[in-house]
Amino acid sequence: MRKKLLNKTLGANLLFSMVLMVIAAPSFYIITQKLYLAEIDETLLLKNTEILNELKKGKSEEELLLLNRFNKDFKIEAASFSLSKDSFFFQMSYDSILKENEHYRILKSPIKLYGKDFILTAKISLLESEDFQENVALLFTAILLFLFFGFYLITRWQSQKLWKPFYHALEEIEHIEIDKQRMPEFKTTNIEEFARLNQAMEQWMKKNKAIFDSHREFIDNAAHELQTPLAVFQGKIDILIQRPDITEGQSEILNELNQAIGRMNKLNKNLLLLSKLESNQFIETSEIDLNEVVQRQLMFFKEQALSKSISIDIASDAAVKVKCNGLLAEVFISNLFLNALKYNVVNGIISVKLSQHSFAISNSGIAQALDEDQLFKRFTKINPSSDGNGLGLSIVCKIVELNGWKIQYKFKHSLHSFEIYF
Amino acid sequence: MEEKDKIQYFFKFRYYFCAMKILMIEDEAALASSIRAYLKSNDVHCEWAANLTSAIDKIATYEYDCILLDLMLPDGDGFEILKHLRKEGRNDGVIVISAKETLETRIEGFNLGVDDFLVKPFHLSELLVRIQALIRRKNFNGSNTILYNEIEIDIVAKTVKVHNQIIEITKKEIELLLYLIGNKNKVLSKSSIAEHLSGDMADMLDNHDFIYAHIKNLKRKLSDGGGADYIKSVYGIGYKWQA
Repeated sequence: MRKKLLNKTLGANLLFSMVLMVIAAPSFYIITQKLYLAEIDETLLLKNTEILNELKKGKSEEELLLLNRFNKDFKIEAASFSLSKDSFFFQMSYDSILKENEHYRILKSPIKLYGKDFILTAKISLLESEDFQENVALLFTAILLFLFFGFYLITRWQSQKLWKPFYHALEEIEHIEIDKQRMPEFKTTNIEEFARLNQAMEQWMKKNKAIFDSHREFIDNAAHELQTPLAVFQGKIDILIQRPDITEGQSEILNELNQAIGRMNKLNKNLLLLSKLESNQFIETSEIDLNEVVQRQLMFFKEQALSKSISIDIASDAAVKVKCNGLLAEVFISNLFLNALKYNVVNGIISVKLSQHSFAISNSGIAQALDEDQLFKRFTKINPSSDGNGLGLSIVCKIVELNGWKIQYKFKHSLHSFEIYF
Repeated sequence: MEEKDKIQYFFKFRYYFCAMKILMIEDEAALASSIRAYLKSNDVHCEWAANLTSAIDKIATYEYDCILLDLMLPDGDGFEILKHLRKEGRNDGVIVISAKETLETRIEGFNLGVDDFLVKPFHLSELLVRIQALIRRKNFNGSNTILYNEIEIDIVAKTVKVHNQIIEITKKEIELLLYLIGNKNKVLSKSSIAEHLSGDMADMLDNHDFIYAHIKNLKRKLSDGGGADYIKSVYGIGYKWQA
């Protein structure tokens, strides 16, 4: 399970505090009680010794009984049983004043007076101790609660403060788009680990960007450099086909050469377009009415569809305005149209649905769904025998990405459909 | 002669009795020789300069109907020529033929007075009709008509007359007709016709069969009007306007 860093730190601290409290609270209670009892026992012993000393000064038996009557806390009685040494015990007795049962600690000591055995009983109420212990427990809980809360607040505050550069860097990294010119900006931090992280990230980004740029430049340069030899090639063929002495066999060869160079041109143009897309040369956008673009291209594609007897069906809202580069709008629609034509079957259909938030084009074709993972990759051809160059959909994909739209492929009711959501 | 006839006569004269004179500034010799050979047989006299210095020399000596300009030259940027022309107050037509084509170069070019852009690689037939169109625009006198024997094309009104009778014809067919006549006696490959008619879309197509339908319709319409059968099919390759 994924948890936030803060929750993890807090979790451990809180768990520790909890365990500490569970162990500490009863031990604290037991220890205080033990100490208190020892204290009380000592007091009782002291009291008995004091009384004994008083008695030894010589008091009559009447006086003793009188003493009993006025003193609640101790009693001297004739021994009804034999007690050999001082012994402590607890007793519960009814207090007539407080009108409730009360806990007492009692010390019984055997004494000898006038030759007779007496038992001196001294008692101390444990009421105070109960109150005391209750208060201590309350106080203890309060302290622990404060501790908890304090822990939580401090950890949270500190974590947030400490990890701030980290979260900032994380956000920056999440928004990296290597093909955009934007590079992440890391805030300077005085925490060494984060500074190192930022530095490493920055270096890594720079390296990646350099690789990406050189890759893009390579395509760009290669495509540009190819243009002149292609122009020479094309020119020579244009000259060659003018010769009056060409045989049928030669003219077939020339036609094939012409088609091959046509494909080379197409490939080259697409590569140039891709490299332009990647270097953001189409930043200028304006309000484009896609319906108008579709209608404009429809004439051309209807004409093209004739040879395969494909019917084109258009369903569109009045005007669909999107913010986009004008040329790119033309390109993505024509590429999708061309694919729908190219991979269609004889007597097939193409259906275009344009609404305010989406553009969908579906076509009949091979009777199984296409591999979505491969679909938008460069140079991946849906049909390996076709003379397409496998760049059409990558270009569409790139345009979609550039505009922050979404594209989806579906295969339903034996129709292949591409849907773009604005 | 009426004014209209004078103009027609002027164009006829330019087309059939006087070769156009153009300057090609291009450092790729193999391409330059192809362009030269192609244009020459269609009455376009083409001079060639392989670098900036010789181009400026040539411009100083002659005035050209049109200048074909490559932007990347061994001794500098082709735009220098445009700046030079502007400084001299010249208004020769300029068609840029370049491999590097971006929005910026286009804008800069048009600001400097470029009339047209043709990105390499291109069909020579396309270059020829662009040159013809540019010269027509430059000499525009309110009316713009091309005559070819019994056929008369009014470019502004977009009408075609055969034996002085207006025939019904689509815009695409007029474009095709202009393309064929402009490249008379030249074999035009199907791909070059497709590209001319559909622009950038054409080079995405696998199939140029739609050309056949256009050619067939055009042939029928011209012959219905009593025109001669000029359009010949060239086995396997394409079509040709046989003069």
